[in-house]
Amino acid sequence: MNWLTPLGFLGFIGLLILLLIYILKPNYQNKQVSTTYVWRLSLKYRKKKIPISKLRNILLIICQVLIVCTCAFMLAQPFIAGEDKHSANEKIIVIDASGSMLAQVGGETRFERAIDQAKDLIDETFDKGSVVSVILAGKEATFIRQRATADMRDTLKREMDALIDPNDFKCTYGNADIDGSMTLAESVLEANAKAEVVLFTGTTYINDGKVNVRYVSDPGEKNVSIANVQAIREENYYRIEVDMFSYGQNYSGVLNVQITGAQGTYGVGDSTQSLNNETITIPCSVDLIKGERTKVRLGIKASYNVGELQIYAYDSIYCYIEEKDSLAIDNAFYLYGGTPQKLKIQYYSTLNNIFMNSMLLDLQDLLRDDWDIDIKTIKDSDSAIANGYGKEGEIEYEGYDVYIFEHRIPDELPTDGLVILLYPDEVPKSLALTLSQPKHLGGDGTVFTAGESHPIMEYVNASNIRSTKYKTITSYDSGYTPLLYANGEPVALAKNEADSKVLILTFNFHYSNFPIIPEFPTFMLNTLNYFIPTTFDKNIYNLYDKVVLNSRSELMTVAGPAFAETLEFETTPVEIYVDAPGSYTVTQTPISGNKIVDRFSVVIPEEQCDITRTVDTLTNPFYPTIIEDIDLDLVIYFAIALVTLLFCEWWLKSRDN
Amino acid sequence: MKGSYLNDEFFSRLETLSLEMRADLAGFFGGKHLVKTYGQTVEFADYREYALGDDIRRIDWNLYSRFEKFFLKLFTDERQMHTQIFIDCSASMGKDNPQKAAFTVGIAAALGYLSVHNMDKVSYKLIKGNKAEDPFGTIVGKRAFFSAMTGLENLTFDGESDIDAAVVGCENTGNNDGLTLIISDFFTDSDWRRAVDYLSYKKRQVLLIQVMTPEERDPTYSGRVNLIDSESEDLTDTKNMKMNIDMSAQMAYEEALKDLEKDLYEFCVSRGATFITIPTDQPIEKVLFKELLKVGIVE
Repeated sequence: MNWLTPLGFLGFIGLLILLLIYILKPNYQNKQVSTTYVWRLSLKYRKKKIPISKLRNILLIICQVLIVCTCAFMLAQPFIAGEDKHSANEKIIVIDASGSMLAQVGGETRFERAIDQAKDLIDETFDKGSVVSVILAGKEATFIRQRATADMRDTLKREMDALIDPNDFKCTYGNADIDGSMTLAESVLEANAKAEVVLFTGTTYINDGKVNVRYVSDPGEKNVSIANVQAIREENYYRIEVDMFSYGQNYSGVLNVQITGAQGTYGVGDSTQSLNNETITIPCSVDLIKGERTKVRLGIKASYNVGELQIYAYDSIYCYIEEKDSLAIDNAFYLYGGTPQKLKIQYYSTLNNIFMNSMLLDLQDLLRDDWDIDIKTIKDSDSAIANGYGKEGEIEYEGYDVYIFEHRIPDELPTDGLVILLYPDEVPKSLALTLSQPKHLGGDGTVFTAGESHPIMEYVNASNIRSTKYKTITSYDSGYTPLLYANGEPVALAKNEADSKVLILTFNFHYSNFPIIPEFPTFMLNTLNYFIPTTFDKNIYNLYDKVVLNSRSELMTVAGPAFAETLEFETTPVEIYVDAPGSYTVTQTPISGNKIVDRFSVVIPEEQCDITRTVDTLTNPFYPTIIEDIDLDLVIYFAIALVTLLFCEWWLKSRDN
Repeated sequence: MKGSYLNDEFFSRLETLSLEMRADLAGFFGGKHLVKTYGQTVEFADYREYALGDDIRRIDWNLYSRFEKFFLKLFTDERQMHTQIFIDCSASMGKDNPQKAAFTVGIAAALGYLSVHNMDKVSYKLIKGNKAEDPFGTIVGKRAFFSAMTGLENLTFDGESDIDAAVVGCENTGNNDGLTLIISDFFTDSDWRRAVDYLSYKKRQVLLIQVMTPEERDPTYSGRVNLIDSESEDLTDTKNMKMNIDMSAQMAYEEALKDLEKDLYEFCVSRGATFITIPTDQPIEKVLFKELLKVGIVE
């Protein structure tokens, strides 16, 4: 409650006068009565009087006091100021934590600068007696503190300092959820629609609406960015293309391209260097124009003349610049996947069929970007050798990723890879299944039907497959999954366990249309992808992407800048999220003992490299309609109280009378 | 006495009334009150069989002719009663209220007149302090009565009164011989119950008459007042009271008065006595011809 005219309290002098009148007032008037005997008797009855009687006795003076008080209050003009819940002093601070906020000048990043300025604003707001909300716009928008009051000043500042703790730096490398921050700000605006939203950012907004945007960028900032690197194979040679930008100013400098595992030739001037799985570093002088994309091309058909580079194979490409600019995270780029991993297949048959040989060759060509497939064919029949389908050799029981046995099956099967059995004469007892006698049908034979839904059968229409000669699998253990049925009996089984990866097809390819219909390559491709999946599906991921890792070993480890420690996984597939740019290494050791190392890189969004980025419109939060609170005049309430008491007195006195 | 009722016209209106007393009283010979005992009047009461020694003149021969047995005719007896009227002469009965005093004297005179008019004896006992003064002695006959009225008319009310001590200490209260009236406002700490018990023990017919002014029944004053008791000696007397008389006080007064009257009535009923309250704002004739008739004291 406030007073417009505090001097009006002088009106309370009237109270002193009133009390004086009561003091001077004659107290008792003598009354002659015949006897006071009954009055004395009545005293014990008066003990039962109700509290209102006391009130009634003092009601008159209460009314008089109220009248004097009301007059004094009317002079003083009391009022209750409307609640300041719509104070414009309240601030909603939004701190942009996107990758571009890592741009630094003089050792201080934009993010640190934003935190310092936000702390100053917090102090200023608290000094005005208002409240502050702080929202961190990172990958997702979160409240650091909602509607904090001045008594939380120290706590809030500690929380702000924690955001720039070197051991737990909260600025991200990716895009900031500014829209989400504005949504959070709306929850505060519901309580105070006059609160001011202050955004600390380095991004320039042409139209920022009602949001107060405070730019924390520094005029001295500059950034050279390697946005992308590609290795494009053309005419069996690779051409390396590097996309570069310069922001803040033009740039003239050197781009270093380091090629690991290069195979081919590299000639500078008259000398030509033969590359045989070697590492070379090619410095490229580049001139970048501020804000424009520059594409640097190396290799065959390259427009950039740094020598005659002809490489047909590589392991990885590492591009980097040594310039000390404002944003270091985009000064290097890793490109992996130049050399596909080797996949060894052994095909053994006593009646070598051309369909399988052709299929393996097709797969070798089809999957050459993912796998370097090495095929070893072993014939075991005179006719096959005579027809030239293979060459004599010994069956190897380890060291291969895929073992294909047709007709005659060894007693002991390999355990370090996928075993495919084609129309086996007999099966080893270790497989725990039994086969029927061969069934030789006339005419078009029988049409197969699909078994359980299975990744191997994806896009394979079983009703297109028919055979006139086959065996059925009469018993098998629960680890197998039936893929195809002939007249209700399984003719294809799959088993994928850590120590037993088996695919059994019990129909004769020579008596089936399977090898000549499109379902066959699909089936085989699915088989490889199912049993021997690639570790990951891309060599370059964007920040925050989900990476699905497949393993061919019991233990897989992942190391990279997003993880403080190496991650270990025993079961796959596993999903990981990468929220830091750089190179990631996935290591696995299959049963064969040959350690498999795969690498992929994570890059930041291209717009975060643009430290001078300008955006048209900033999405504003919804501002609720403000209903103004008016100051409450209290005189009317005193008047109501007075009238009420007067009414009470009138009522009580009327009862007395 | 200002406003005195005692004049010829007042007494002449009483000629038609008489006091009605209980029949079991003994009384004295020579009165007009019928009693239960058999006597020599002409009013037939009962028959009884003749016994040796009875006066043979009273044998009903007609019955003898019918039953061939001797029966005597019995007649009621008439006795003279002694009416004693105790008048509370404390200040509360009229020191500051002449009307209450006149009313009290008027009632006492009227009932005394009814007694002498019916050939009864009457005596006035003036309660002053703890004594009952008998300034007029036993009054028989109208001449003596009117002679006493002169003194009664000049009766003064002052001081306190102790009904209990005065009645119990009275030398000649009689025994089973008439009516005793106590005229008072009964606004006293005195144990009037003991007085009634004593009179009942004496087999007297008892009538308590409470005289009350309208102001005593319903006080009209309110606010902060210093109530000065008429029986108080000075302003510092503890009988005086400082009170803030409001509605609750008035309600308490009304309740206390009602309880006092109820106590008087119930006690009198329990002792076979009669109690009436007489407001002074009523005409005295109404009291005599209505209130006393209603309780059966006069007929």
